[in-house]
Amino acid sequence: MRFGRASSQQDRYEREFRTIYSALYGTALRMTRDPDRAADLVQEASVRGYEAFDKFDGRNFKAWMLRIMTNLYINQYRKLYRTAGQVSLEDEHVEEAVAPPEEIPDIQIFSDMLEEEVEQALGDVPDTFRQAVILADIEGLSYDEIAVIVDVPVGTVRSRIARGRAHLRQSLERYAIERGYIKKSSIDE
Amino acid sequence: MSDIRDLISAYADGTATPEERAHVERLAAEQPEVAREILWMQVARQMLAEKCRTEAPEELFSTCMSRVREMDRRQRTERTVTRLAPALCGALCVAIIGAGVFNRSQNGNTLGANQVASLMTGGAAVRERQSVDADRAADAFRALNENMGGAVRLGAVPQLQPWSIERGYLDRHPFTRVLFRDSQGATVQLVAVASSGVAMENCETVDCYRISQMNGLTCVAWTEGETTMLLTGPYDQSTLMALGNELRQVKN
Repeated sequence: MRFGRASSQQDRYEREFRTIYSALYGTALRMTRDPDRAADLVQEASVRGYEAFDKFDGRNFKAWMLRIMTNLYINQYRKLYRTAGQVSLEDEHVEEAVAPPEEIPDIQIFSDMLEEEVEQALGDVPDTFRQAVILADIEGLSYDEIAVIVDVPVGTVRSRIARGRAHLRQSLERYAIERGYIKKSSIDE
Repeated sequence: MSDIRDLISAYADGTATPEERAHVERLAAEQPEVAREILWMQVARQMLAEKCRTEAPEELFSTCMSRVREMDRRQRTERTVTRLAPALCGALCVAIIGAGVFNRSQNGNTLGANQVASLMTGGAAVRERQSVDADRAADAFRALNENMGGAVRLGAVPQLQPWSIERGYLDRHPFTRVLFRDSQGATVQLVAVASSGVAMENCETVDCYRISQMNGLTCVAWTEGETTMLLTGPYDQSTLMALGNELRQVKN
């Protein structure tokens, strides 16, 4: 009887997990920027999630698992894998992103960039801001859900998303210049 | 600008309050760069949503579920062991104690045929030897009875004169041996050993006696409570049984 219940819980967890593990992996990949580490993170999260599955309130499994994985990442992985170049300070300054209209390359250029280029540009965004952008723009979570996941106030989430997008635009502009989609002078002049 | 950017970002996401929305729209109408920032925020959302779709490898799902199942099995085993631990410990203790008691009881009450043969042929270690005067046979029997904890009550037999009493242990079993001489000078041996289970090879049972051959001599044995009496001498079994009867003070 007890084994029957355990098996049923396992089946339910498997079903739920199958629907979101790609999202978990994508987020892990963008947080760690390494496929192997991302897979490790997802595996660890899957085990932690199952351990705590009886505490899941049944509402948003993806947000619940993302929270588990993000906490894991914050507590374990980021300390181990953070490289010297990665910065995640809240007060990091972003260069003034709002430029006169004539100095900003056509925004349409960004839409035409390759997936790989967008991923690279996203990878250049500092950790904390990137995490917020990933959860909001890629995983489609609400500000409230992100606030719970990363354990900060909603206002901080909003600020991080805005800063992350500003960073992303700078990175995209750099890539656009490097690849000759736009000329440097169009920004510098 | 960062506050404005936060507002613009929230506006693009549709999470701004009505007041914030009105503020941003007023700014956008006045400043083209704000309008452009709003556009960028919307493009960024759309672009990321479209271009950053990742399909995880299928084997990752299998690996995750294998780990989950493994953990589940481990947890169930741990729970089972934890639940049963007191019972298992109790059973183990009972088994150990039971084995000890059984072993003790076996060792305490049983002697093998080889041990008995050793005892009857002088192989057992003697710790004390006492000579008995010919006219003090009654003392020898009293000593013998006392050595057997009072459980044995043997009477003197006129035709047997005790001349030596030995005490010792055979594998933790105390024994007392009395050596007699009969009227012909032949030695008769009576041994009382504290064991009710004495094995004898090829023995036959007559009345209360078990009869066997040991090293060419006939041996008759009987029990007195928890004590086994063994009698050997250069006689046939009827004579030995008759001697046994006399020692036990049983009259035919």
